[in-house]
Amino acid sequence: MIWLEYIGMIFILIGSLFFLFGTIGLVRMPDVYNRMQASTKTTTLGVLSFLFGIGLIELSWMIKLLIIALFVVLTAPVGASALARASYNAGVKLWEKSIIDKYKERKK
Amino acid sequence: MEGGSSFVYVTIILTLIWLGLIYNPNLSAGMFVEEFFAGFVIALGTSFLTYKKFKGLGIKYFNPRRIAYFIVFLIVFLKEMVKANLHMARIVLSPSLPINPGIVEIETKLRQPSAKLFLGNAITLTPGTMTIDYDDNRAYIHWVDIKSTEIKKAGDIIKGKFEKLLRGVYS
Repeated sequence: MIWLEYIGMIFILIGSLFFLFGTIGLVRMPDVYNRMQASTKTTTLGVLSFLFGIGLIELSWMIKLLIIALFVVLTAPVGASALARASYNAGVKLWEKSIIDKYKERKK
Repeated sequence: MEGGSSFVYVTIILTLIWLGLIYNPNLSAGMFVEEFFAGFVIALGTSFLTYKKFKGLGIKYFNPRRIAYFIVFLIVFLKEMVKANLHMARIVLSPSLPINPGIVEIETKLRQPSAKLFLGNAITLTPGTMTIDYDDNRAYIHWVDIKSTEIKKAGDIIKGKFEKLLRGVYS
């Protein structure tokens, strides 16, 4: 099954490309919230792609890896929301060119 | 017994996860039975300690129609996730950094806490949006590239098909 191994390697390569984009986003984005967006999305899909690629290389691990993937998808966005809300409540400002902040209106 | 349905539900889910974790093509039948029962007993214990936290859930969610809706939800979700990443890659790689960020407010008709969790997670992982907080039936969303600030129109764009599919799962 040498072809499956090659396909798995391609998935791992795609995953690391997404990690690279996430890191570039982390450096280039202007504020905490935009940075969080860039890093959460790209690392989640990057991890999924990695796990799927490893599963194709070692087929008998596939079910375990899919369970790990499920937990990553369930927890990563919750962590991002919690961090974003915590930084908002700690007083981290939005980027000055942000056009609207409905969350502030709610807090009054 | 009150909460019995959620007790059974949590036990079944935990046992299924355990089955996935112990799966191994070389496992002998005797070993499999031993491992299965060890995990099943621990699943019963864990479920007994935690089922009160899952009181909205129950065995009615094993209904095939709900499972079919959930599978469609997962497929749409994966597709949107790939789109979100390409969108994000395009933003961070373009020299002018074309963003237009802010926090908008949307409304949702979903009531169950787990439904809101799935909707919030789906929103966080789809193009350009991230859930920040829920306030009863209102969600506050950070949006990288705002297209509308009206509650209704923004909600339609952000929620997409997800809310409809989740209502299929939960109604």
